[in-house]
Amino acid sequence: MTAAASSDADLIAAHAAGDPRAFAEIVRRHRDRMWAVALRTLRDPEEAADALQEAFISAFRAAGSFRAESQVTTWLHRIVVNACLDRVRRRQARPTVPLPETGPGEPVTPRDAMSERETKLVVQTALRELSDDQRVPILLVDVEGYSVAETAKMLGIAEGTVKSRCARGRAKLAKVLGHLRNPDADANVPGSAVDGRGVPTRRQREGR
Amino acid sequence: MTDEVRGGRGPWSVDLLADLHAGVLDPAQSQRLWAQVNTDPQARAVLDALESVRTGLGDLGAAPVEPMPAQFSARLDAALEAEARRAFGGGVAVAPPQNAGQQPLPQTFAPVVSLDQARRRKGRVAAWAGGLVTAAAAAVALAFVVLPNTTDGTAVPPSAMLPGDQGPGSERPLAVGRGDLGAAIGKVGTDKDYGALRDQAGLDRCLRANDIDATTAQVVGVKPVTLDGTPGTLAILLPPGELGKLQVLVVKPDCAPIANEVIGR
Repeated sequence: MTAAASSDADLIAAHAAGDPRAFAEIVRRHRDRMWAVALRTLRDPEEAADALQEAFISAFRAAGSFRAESQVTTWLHRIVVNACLDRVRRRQARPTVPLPETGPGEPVTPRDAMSERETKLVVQTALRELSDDQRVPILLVDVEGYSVAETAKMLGIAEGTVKSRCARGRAKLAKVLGHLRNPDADANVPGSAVDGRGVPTRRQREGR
Repeated sequence: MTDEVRGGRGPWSVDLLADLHAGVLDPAQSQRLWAQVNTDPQARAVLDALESVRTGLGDLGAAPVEPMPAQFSARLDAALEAEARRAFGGGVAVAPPQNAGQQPLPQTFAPVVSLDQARRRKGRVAAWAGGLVTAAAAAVALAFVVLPNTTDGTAVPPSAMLPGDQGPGSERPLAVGRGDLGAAIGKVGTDKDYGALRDQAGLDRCLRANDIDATTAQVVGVKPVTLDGTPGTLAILLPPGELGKLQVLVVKPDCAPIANEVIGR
């Protein structure tokens, strides 16, 4: 089979049928995206690489049980996330890495002055401020797009706990990202606290 | 949960608004609060900030990704090649369902494990291997945890078990005593003589049979031995995440463990 021209599902089927090169093509197609997922979740490149290797080996071995009605990317993504979560659980005691440049609540560069890449880096950096308990649910729900129910199942916690941890994490990120000037004030956020730039129209998304 | 709302309007706790935004609150309370915050510009500003965070996070997930660094992707490729070789190569354990009659992989599939694993973690193996003889000569006692030995029943195709076949290049087995495994480490060193296990694939099969992940195991040395008179093959491994320790696994040709100990400082 010409691997490059085949669909992901065809490649999985070819792999399960004994094609020794089919899985390599799957990896080639999805490696970088999955690397981003692993790195975001684990933060440490060495650990992310190990998790990704475990995940792909696991997928290699489990390909025979892949169900064609689901997307290969979705299937792979779940395997990678689970490999990362296993590692997060094992390192729960490790302290978080503090932000070196900006303290909580200190405004960062205005969003509209940033390139997309800079914004991405700022958000990634801000995520490092969160504990694993808050960061991982936020990654799964807000970044990776899993529902609250799916996230709760993957993490083995209640849906309410997922929502609560996301709420705490988002509040902290809002402070770290400078969206709230007076983050420690218990309430009346001054009108100037949010400059309005880059703030989208509010949608009342109460979890997913 | 955080502060209660004081009065019909704020001040509002950021945490309370975050809970409201995330759907943490019960429906009745949520409905009541939404009605209030929707008429309060200050509360709406906080909610807009929280929504902005979500938007930024969503953008992060959709943003173009950086390629996996070359050193990691090379390592991944090597591990997958090793896995493919095990799965599709001759006589190894993890065979796909329809593998009968499958042609052996061409030689582009490198003889695995030791080489790619040696690349891992920038010479950690080499550093350890270099210290082995010294450690043994100093008769450093490394304490080893005996792991439960569970065989998964899938690992050993009968055709791969060749008792008595020490394989090409084998020398006379090294006589080892159970109470003297630390000294044996120095005698095995970094030799790779698989004896009755024949080759790396045979060793990998036994690693898996003893609940050791063959894809990540870092093998320092392998040598045929007799352990208190019982013939077997001794493998020295670097246990993952346990710097300063070595794992000694001694198995019979059918992968049954004779010794499995972690020797550490």
